[in-house]
Amino acid sequence: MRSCNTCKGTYPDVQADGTSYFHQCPPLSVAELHAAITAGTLVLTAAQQAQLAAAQTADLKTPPAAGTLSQVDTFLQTLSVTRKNARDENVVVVGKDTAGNPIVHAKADPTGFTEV
Amino acid sequence: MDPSWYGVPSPALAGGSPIYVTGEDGLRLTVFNSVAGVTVTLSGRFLPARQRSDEADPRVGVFNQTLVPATTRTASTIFMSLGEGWLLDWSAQVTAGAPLKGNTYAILELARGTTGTIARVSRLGEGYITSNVSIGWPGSTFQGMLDGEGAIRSITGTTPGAGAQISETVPTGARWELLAVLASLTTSAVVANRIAEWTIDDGANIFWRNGANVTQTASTTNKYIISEGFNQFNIDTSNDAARCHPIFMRLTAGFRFRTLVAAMDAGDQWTAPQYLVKEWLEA
Repeated sequence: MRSCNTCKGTYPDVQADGTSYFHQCPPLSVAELHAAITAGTLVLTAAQQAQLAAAQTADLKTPPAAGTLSQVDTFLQTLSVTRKNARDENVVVVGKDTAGNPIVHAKADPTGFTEV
Repeated sequence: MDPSWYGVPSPALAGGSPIYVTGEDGLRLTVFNSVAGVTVTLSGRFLPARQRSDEADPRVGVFNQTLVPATTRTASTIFMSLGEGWLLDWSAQVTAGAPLKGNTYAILELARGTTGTIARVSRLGEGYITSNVSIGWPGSTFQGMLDGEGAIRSITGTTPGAGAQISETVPTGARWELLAVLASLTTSAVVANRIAEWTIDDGANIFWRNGANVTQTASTTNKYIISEGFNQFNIDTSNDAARCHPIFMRLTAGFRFRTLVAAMDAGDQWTAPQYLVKEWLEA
């Protein structure tokens, strides 16, 4: 098993059927988005900031009933924000060797993994 | 009839084989594969042309060459020079490993050049191969990568970190039909009503989503299921919530299925998703 040094997800690099598994970090969850916005580590675009402000105003005006989504969460769910140092083990062809075979690298691997 | 009438060395008719190759031509085997431990063997028979009028008639020879393909679903190739003569028959088959039909795909071409620019002259055959299913000539029909039933695969995905969502990506070189997914969410003691949804996107843009019409409270564990063409239900006595997604929905490389949980706490924890797909290679 491997543990991703970026997202802390754990995964088998080889499946039971012998195929390789290529991990890709998930985008930030709504909880992580809340935390990142609060900490100032995520900068939204002007349009997104306007949508978030509108959602916050709507939630203040009409608080969400128990068991229903807030307008803020509804908005944040529409975002797909890549986490910092996201890894993607899926391969990309970067060239060919002398025999014509492709040379492949992971699409993104800034932090690596730890065997667990 | 005197074979020299055709302008080629004896034996001109060569058992009726239409595949005459010059010394510049060779066989190029390309294999796309997703499974470890696979060896593909290219074998066949070749009748060399007589090079001098004073030499004895050549005898039919057998060729045999192996290739251990990469498991990244990218192309692995070998080139085999034959010399001048007639290709009588050939086959490509898995001789080690146990791939399913849909895991290992072979293409055989007549080509010129071993390095640098390789000129593909003609395609001789292509299709999925296993230890019991080969492609070859004579006899085989051409099969495209997206033809056939695909390989049934049960995959264990990533266990996300605490507070993170499930996100599984169709790997490079694959096409999936998602059949079913199951994962459990255990909530922390922080009081909130979580609402879990499944989404499918193209790597950025969500085009399908379906959520359990029920909330999950603190310190509970629910199982969330999506399945092709399945009846939907909310939490049952086994704490299962099932949603359906359209049948025959094909996902190509880079597409993702993910969870979205509203009011998720940083201490909430998903299990690794276990999912069933049909897989084809796509290059």
